Amino acid sequence: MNKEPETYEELIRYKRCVDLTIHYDLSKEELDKIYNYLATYPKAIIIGNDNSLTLNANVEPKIQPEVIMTKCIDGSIDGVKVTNDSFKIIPHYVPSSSSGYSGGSSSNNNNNNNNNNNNNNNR
Amino acid sequence: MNYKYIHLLYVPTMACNMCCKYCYLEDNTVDDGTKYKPLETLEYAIKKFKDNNVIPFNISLHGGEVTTLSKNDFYDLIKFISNYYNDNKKIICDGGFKIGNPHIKTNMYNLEKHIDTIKEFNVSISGSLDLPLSLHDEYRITKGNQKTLKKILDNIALLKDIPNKKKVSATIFKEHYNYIDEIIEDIKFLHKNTCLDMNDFNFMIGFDYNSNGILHHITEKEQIEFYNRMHKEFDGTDLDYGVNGPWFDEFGPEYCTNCYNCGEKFFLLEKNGDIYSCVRGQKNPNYYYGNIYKNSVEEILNTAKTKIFINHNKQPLNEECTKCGYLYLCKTGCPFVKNNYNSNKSYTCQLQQVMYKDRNFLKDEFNDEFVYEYVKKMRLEDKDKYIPSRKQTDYSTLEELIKQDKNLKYIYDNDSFILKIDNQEYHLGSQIIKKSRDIIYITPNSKIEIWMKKNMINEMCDYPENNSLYIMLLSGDLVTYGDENRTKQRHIATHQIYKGVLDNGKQDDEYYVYNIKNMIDNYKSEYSFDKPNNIFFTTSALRDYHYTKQKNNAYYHIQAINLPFQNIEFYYLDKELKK
Repeated sequence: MNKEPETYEELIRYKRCVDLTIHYDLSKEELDKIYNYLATYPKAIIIGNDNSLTLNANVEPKIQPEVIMTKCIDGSIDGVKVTNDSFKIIPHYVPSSSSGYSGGSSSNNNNNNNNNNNNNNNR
Repeated sequence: MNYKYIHLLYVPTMACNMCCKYCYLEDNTVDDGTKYKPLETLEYAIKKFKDNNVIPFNISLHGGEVTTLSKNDFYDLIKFISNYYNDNKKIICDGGFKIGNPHIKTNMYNLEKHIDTIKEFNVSISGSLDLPLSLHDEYRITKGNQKTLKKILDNIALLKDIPNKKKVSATIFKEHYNYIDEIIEDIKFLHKNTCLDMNDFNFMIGFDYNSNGILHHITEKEQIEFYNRMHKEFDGTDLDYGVNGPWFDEFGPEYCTNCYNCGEKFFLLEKNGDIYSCVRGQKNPNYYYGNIYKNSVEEILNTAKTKIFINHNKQPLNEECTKCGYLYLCKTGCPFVKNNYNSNKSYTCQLQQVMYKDRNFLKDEFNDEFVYEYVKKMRLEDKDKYIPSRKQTDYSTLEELIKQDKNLKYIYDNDSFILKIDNQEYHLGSQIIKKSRDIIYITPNSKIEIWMKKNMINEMCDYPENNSLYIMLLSGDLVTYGDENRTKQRHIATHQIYKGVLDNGKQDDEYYVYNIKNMIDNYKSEYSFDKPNNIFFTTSALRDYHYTKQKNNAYYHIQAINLPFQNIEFYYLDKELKK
């Protein structure tokens, strides 16, 4: 991206855009476009689907959304929703004919039973 | 080779020899005087498409009125299309499509002019008539205000000995519907007295658009009455095949109107190189995809998909459609008509439902997975609302187990913990129950407080004084260890904040408030920058109860094998760390 973030607000916006590249195939120009869109429209909503990112300014009067045709490259998700306040990931839903639901959790983490923390001495 | 197959309507001329009173093209039915010859643009487009691995599996000529072309231009076009089908037979068939004959959509008024070409190439004809025929002569007149029906019927007679497909279609507006008995008689007349294949006839249901105020649409109830009347009249006759098939096929699942995104498959090319969605979208900027002479094929295809996606999303998704078991067939209908009516469902919804039922299409009573698939592909609505619930049949789901054991409630509920970062509130949910993941971004400037409902300190606890707010910090970095060799997020720290501290700190009537900024900052060098880190909240007592439940209930254990507590994922952004 062209922009070198200076404030923390810009740094967060920058990082959100960079994080989009984990999930979508985006060029530098497209990332700049998304960054500038979020900077221009404080209430903007970016919706990521299977093969597109839609940039909705979320202003009144309404303006035509912009669509970036791109490929979702992360098979573990079904989409994203990005605003200036949030970054939401929709994990991939595995249809019932397949082996099961991938769930909303990140991939790991259970201490699966407890005594490895040495901090439960007051139980 | 990986080809993309498209359906291409080609408009070699905008000129028309008729002046139908309700024509949607209004004043556009004159040749646009472009510098390109009719064949030149089609040849150019086909080559450019093919160079980009885009193969029209069907090329149909549309108007304007194609028969206004000179004999030579018409002949050259038809010959080109015929040769195209022959030369590309294998590619088209490999894509699962049948090879047809050159096909024209025509008003049939000047058909005799091109009868030799039609014979030579066995051109398939799709004509337009108004039914009842008495209205044809009223509405479908020449530019010199002359009636056209007799000449058209004479021209149809010329097709008698040609083994081509010859069909007609008629659009039904209120003005036609009022003469339903006449329509029936005229269908019988055409079937008996002409060479038209009336089993291949089709109705279109008119919608209000550019008809100069002359025609008015029929209601959905009238659409069904019309459909039922046709069945009553023709079921079991030698037009049984038609009335149960092609006559109403336009409202079936095979047509463009029922695609996910018709912009991926259907294109209309004009002689000047302009490309639109289709006849409905012709000359409308919202359905203009570019110009074959000016834009790359990639640009045109992307614009097509994009515009149709946007057009489908101009109105919010109709919740009735998400509950309709036929969404998998209908996909809410044609975006052009929906937007024309400022509606979000198909204008023939009721008719389609009756027709699907009559044609033995199964209603998907458990359509949540299809709805989610549709939303995922084609909608801008929040997807999490449509994510189907997990289904298991052989043992209780986690949600059922939580309902059965009230003691589990606070390990999983969405109301007990609120994380407040600067001015944002995040109501935390269990990471294994919630259907989406929120990622937050924390900086050294962030003010971070966890708000915990006061009752939590008493839940599942005999001695609340000995209970604590239990906070677990995990890195996004993974580690594999232990007897089971599982890969997990690496633990960074666990903090317990006892009741005494919470009692003495900030609080309101309902919540304890604890500032975790320093705790988060303390571990800043431990966080992953590339993968989201994780912070969980519960109480020591609830955490103990979770593990006790795991020991006692295998079904609970296997479904709550990952940490179940309320959580949020985060990145820690520090300008210095970034450097």
